[in-house]
Amino acid sequence: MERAGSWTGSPLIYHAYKSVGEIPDLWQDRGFVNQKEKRGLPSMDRLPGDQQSCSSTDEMRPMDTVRIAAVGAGVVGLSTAVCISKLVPRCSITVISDQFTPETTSDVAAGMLIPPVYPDTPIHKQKQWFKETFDHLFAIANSAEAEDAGVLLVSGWQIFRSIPTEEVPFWADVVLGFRKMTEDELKKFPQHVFGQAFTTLKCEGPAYLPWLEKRLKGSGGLILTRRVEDLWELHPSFDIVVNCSGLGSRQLAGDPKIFPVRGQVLKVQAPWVKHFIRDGSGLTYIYPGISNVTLGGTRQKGDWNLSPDAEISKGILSRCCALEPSLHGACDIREKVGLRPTRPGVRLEKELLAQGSRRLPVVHHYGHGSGGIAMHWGTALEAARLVSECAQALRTPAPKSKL
Amino acid sequence: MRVVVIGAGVIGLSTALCIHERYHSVLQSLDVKVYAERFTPLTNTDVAAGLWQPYLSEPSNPQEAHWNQQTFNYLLSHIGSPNAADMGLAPVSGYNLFHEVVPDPYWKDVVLGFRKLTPRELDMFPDYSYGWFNTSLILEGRKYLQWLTERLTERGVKFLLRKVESFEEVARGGADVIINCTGVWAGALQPDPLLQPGRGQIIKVDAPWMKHFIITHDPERGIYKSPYIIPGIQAVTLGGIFQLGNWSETNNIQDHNTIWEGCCRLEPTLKDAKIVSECTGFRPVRPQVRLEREELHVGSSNTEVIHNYGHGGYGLTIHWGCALEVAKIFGKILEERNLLRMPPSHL
Repeated sequence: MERAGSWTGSPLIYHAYKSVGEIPDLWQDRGFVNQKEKRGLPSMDRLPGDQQSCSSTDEMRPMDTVRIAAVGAGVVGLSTAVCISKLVPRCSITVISDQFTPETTSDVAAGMLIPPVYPDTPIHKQKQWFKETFDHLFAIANSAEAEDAGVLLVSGWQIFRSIPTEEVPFWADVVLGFRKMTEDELKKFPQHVFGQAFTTLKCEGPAYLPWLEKRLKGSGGLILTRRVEDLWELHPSFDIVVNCSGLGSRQLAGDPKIFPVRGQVLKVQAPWVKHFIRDGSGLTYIYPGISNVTLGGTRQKGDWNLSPDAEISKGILSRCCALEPSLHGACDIREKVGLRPTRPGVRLEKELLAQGSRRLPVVHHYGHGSGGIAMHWGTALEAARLVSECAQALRTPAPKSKL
Repeated sequence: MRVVVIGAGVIGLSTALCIHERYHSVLQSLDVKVYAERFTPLTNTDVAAGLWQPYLSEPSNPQEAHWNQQTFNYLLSHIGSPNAADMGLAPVSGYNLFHEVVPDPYWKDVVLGFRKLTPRELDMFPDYSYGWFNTSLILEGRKYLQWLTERLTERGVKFLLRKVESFEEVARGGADVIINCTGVWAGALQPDPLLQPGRGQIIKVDAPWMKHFIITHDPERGIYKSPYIIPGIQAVTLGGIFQLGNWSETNNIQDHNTIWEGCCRLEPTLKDAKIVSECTGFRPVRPQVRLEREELHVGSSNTEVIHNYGHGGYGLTIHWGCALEVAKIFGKILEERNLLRMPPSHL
C-alpha cells in the first residue's frame, strides 16, 4: 500500500542540482539528509545560493541577487517557484522540502479542474485564480508537451439528486461548453434529476510535478531535500521565504486555521471510461486519467490518518459502480490517501518575521484545500507578485521601508 | 429450419444472433451455422475504429436512417450494464470539424447532447472554423465480434471456416435460408456492379490522454478522406484514407504519411505517441445497403437468400437495425412456410 503526503519514515533522495558555480563540498557528499539535524544552521553550514555573505539581510545593494527559498514541493511550492523565477529579476530560487513527487498530496489528487468553494475568498478572486490556472493548463493541453506535463482534456457530467440552488456556478464560462444536461442524458442516472455537462482539464501530479521541476531547473532554480522545522532556519541564507508547506503551516506558521480533510481514493484500470462523473455533493466521483481512473472519495475533517481503510474502499467502489456499472470490471485497484490542506480561504499574504534584530520577510501561500490543482497557477502568480514586492523593498536603499 | 449465415463480420454475426434470439423458441428446431473465410481478427470489422456515426448527408434509402437510430438505441440500452465494456461498448464524446458552416446532421437528435462548438473550443483547432460536439458510442469491432461469437457459441451456433463458391453449393448442403453477409466480397457470389471497395488504412497508437474523438471534414475531398482520431478502449485509431476501387490489402507508406501528418497537425500531442499497429480494410461501398430477399431455385426446392451487405463505412453504426430487418424478413418466410408455432414475441 502506498502512502502519500507522509511526514515521517522513508529515506529521502538527494535532489539538489547545481546551478551557477559550485555547491560547497559540505553538500556534495550528502546521500541522505539526517532528519534529526539540529535546528537552524550552524554558522559553518552554507546553503547553495550563498553567493556572497551579507552581514545582514537588511542591507542589500540594488544589484544584489535576492535569495528566495520556497518551502514545500507540492504543486503549490513548485509552481510558485517557477512563477518567481519568471517574474522576479535577479533572484535565485531554491525549493526546500522533505517530500517530493510522487509522495506529495498533489500526487494523490485526481487533479480535475473543478473549483472548490472558499467561503472567505471573494468570488471574483476565486474566478480569477481558476481562470488563470485553466488558461495556463489549456495552453499546455493543446501543445506537444501535454503528455509530459500530464495535462488532458476530459468531458463529463456533474449530476444532482435535487435541483441545486445555483444551477450555473461562477466558473461555468471558464470551462468549455458548459450547459445543462438533456433529459436523454439524465436517463443514464436514474437517481439524479439535474445535471451539468462540460469539458474541463485534468492535471496529474505524478507527471506535472516533475515537469515543473524540470522547468525550474531550466531557469536556474535549485531543489533541496530537507525537513524545515522552523522558518528561521532559513535565515540568513535566504532573503525571502515563500511558505508553501500546506498542512505543515500548522507548525511552520503556527496557524490553527489549517486542518486536514482526509481523502481516500482508488486508482483503477478501466480504460473504457472516457468521461468524468461527479455527484453534485462532490463526495462521489469518477475521474478518468492518462493511465488510470480515480474513484472517490471521502471528506474526513480533522483526520490525519494516512493509511487506507478497507471498508472505505469498499464503500467508494460501491458508490462509483452505482453511477457507472461498467466499473464492476475495473481491475488493479490501488488505494491512496491524501490530506487536503484545508482553510476557510487560501492564505496569500506577506508577513515580516522579527526576532531581536533579525528580520525575515515571508510570503505565505497555503491552504488550498481541495482546490490545489484547480487554483495553483492563479495563486502562484499572486504569490510571485508578493515576493516581487518584498524583493523590491529589500533593494530600495535606506530609509528602510516597512514591508 | 436450417439457416446458414455467410460472413462473420459484424453484419454476419449480429444477424445470426438476432435471428436466433427471436426464433429459436418459436421454431420446432432452428439450426444456425456461420460459414466464413475470415473470422475475427481478420475481418474488416476488426479494422474499423467503431465510432457510431452515420454519414452527414441523408441516406438515399430513408430506412437506413431508421436502422441507424435503432442501432444507437439498442447499444445505448446496454450502457448501464456491467458488461458493456466486454461488448467493446462505451460512451465517447468528441468533435466534428468543418471549414465552413454546415447544416446540422439528420442524426443530431439520436446522439446525446448535440451542440455547436464554442469559439474557445474552435481555438483548439486553428485549421477549422465550425463544428459540433456530441456524445456518441464506441463499439470496438474486435471486442464486439468476440462478444458476439461467445453469445452465439452459448446458443449452439456453429462456425465453419469455409470458402463458399456459390449459393447453390450451400443450398445443396441442406440450407433452407441463406443470409448473405459477405460484405465487400459479395460480388464473388453474385456480380454486383454497385458494390466497390472503399479502401481504408488506419494506424493504432498508444495515446491514453486522448478521451475525445476528433473527425474533420473536407467536402471537396469526400468522406473519410480527412484526418480523424478515434479513441478506442485501449488504443487510439488514426485515419483519413478512402480509396474507391483499391483492392490492395497491404499498408501503403504514402497513406501512412498522410494519416500521420494529418493527425499530428490536428492534435500535436500525438507526435510522440507509440504506434501499436497499422492495418488496411475495405469498406463495402454501395449507393445503399442491399437488404432484400431473393428466391433461389436449386433442384426441386426453394432456398431463400436474404442479402445484407454494402454497409460502407457505417456497418457498426447500422448493424442492429439491419439485423432486425433481416429477422423480420426471416419471420415472413417462416409464416409463408407455416413453420411458426406461435407468433414471434420480439417483432
